[in-house]
Amino acid sequence: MEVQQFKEEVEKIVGNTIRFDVHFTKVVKNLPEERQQRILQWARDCAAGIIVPEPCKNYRHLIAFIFKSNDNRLRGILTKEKGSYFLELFLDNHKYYDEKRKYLGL
Amino acid sequence: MRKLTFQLNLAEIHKIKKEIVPTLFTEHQFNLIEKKFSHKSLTPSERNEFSRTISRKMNAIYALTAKESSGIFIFGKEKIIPSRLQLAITYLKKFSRKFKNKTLFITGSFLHQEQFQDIDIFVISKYDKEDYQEGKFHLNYLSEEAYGSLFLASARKLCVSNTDFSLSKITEKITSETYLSLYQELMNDIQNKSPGIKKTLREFLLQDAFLTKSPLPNSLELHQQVRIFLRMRNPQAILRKLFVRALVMGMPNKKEIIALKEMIASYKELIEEYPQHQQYYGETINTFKEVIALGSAAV
Repeated sequence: MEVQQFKEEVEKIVGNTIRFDVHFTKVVKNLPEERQQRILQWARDCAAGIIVPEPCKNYRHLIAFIFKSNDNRLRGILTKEKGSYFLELFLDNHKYYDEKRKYLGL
Repeated sequence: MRKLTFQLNLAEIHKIKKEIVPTLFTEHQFNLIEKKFSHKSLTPSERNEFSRTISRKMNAIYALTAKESSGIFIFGKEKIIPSRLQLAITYLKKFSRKFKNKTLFITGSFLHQEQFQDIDIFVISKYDKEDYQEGKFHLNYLSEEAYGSLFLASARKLCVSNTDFSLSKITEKITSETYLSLYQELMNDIQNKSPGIKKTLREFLLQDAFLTKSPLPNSLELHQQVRIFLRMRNPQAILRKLFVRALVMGMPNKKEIIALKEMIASYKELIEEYPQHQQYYGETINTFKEVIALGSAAV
């Protein structure tokens, strides 16, 4: 799936308020179809309230859903305003994920 | 012998003089070592004595401490499967040629388990690069900050390396805040059945040992502890107890207690939005409340 199409799929699931992190395009471009589908399914589960979100200590109005791939090399964080809309989707390796977690206070 | 002159320095030798004279070397031999490492020239008879007696003793000491004279350093040799040790040395030499002047080490289940997923090779580099797989090898890049990391402090208890980092000190900032974040991630991993649970659990157990001033587990001990936790029906119950113990033993200050109270408030808000996860959030709230109750009494 092309990156643009993937972004549109995500928007369909979590709403068009969603923003994509700066590395997003580069990461998605290199993802095999099967892994892209897994991420979309995870986004559906987040939207449906199946995945358990955590509060962000540094931004108390935000909550975050965490994604980890089977080989644990790809991580994702989907942030959302408490009681409101989804904000941003981040996808990258564990190093950038750790930085993002620290930034959010996760 | 050439290798020894690289590894020892005069200041260190002076510090340990009382321990090695006369137990290992005579006063005269110690003076010869001192002369040699000060780069002063030795007379032919001194050179003879040095090579016949002193260097042999030194090599024996190196053998005892499992340091090979080939520039390979073995930590926790007794826990490494002998055939794997030989392979690890071969691989390390091969990759050391590829990554010239870089610190490399092999650790993980390849060294101590019959079955393993891949061979973890860590490269400490100035520049951060993406990890990659090369056949059965998983190349992991670490920044130079890794020398002071908790991970390296644990890894160096059981690894094969091209660098002697036995004297590295932990400089990584491990606080109740980092531990709290890790606990939050770990419980979330368990709840969501995340594939990253093993890694998070390893990090959690390391930080737990550090904060409670317990000996840091090595790669094998971590492997065993993780396996035990993953076999449990309800690992959360034990993890909660570890979490409470570590935070209370660290004597939480007022700022930390306020942070926990804010977290409780956030989780309560989440219960309203996600009532289906009430049990999970409720247990987290109760754990934080326990820390506050025990911690406040200690302040």
